[in-house]
Amino acid sequence: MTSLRRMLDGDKLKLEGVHFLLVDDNPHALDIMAQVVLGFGVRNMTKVESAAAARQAIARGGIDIVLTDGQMPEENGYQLTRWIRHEASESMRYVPILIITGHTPQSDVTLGRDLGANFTIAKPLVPRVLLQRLFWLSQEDRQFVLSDTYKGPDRRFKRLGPPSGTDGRREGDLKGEVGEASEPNLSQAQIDALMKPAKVVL
Amino acid sequence: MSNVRFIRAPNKLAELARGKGGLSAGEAVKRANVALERLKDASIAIIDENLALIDQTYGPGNPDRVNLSLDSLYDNASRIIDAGGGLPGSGLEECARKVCELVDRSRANHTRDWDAVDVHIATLKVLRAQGQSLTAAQRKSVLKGLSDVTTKRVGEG
Repeated sequence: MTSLRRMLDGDKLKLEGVHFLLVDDNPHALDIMAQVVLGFGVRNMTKVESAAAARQAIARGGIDIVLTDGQMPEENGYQLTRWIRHEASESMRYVPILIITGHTPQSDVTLGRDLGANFTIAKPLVPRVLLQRLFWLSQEDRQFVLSDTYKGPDRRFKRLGPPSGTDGRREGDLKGEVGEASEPNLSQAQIDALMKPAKVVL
Repeated sequence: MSNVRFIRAPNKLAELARGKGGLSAGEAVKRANVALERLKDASIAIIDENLALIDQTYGPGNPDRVNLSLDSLYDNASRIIDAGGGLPGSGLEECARKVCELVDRSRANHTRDWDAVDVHIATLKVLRAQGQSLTAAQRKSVLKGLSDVTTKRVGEG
């Protein structure tokens, strides 16, 4: 069926050299995260129970990806994301960030996106969902946007469609692969009509 | 005027993950599920502990609940979501998410409805006991009923 089926059948991911930073104030949730990534073959991980400890780990450097709980007391995963994108060292500022959250209202997903997180994943953590996001990250070539108001991966991601070989998450996502044309291609006149600036009459 | 720059940030994850060797996705998921299985008993214990706390603190048996904030209800429900993988297919974590939604909307709309809380707690208990033996359609119907209760008694989000 799907991208996930294809992913499960064939693709390989080598994560043993990737250093994961896992952040969750709930020790059991942290254990779940750790067990999942250990199952993926990860050998380097740092587990911390607060955003403050995560900042220290990031300041030491060498982190390749951050998985953080969204809702934590004192400083939450969204604030941590903002700190990483704005205040971490240059080498850590672009690290992929996945926010993992229990209760996930749309406003939180939007907040995470606008603070520069790469993805938001709903708890309980399901291995195949996390692995799929890791595949996506490993194939991702989104540009990074640096502006006064936003620092993070290009948020116009949806328009690019999902990575090649995947079917996407949204109902309206186009296929990641372009197949043989099934209808005549656009004529040059049609292309010109799409591309040429036109005077707008109001 | 805002200064916007687009850069190609180094994707070290991609560099490392695409190297030779590694696990197939199917094998990785299988191993992760085996690893998670080791935490199953602990997850179920956490679910039961938090369900009991919710019932004791916010259930109809506690007359003092009217004086409490709903913060702990949200926290306990969040713990159930965290550990929800311990009872897959029960709908319990989805029900706990609806408890969080109820609390969120109660806060936003400055209201509190104990009948709605009672229905949510009763549903948590039912799904804990029988959720895995219900059909998907039955679980969906139960959970849809909770959303309707919240909207009707507490208001839109």
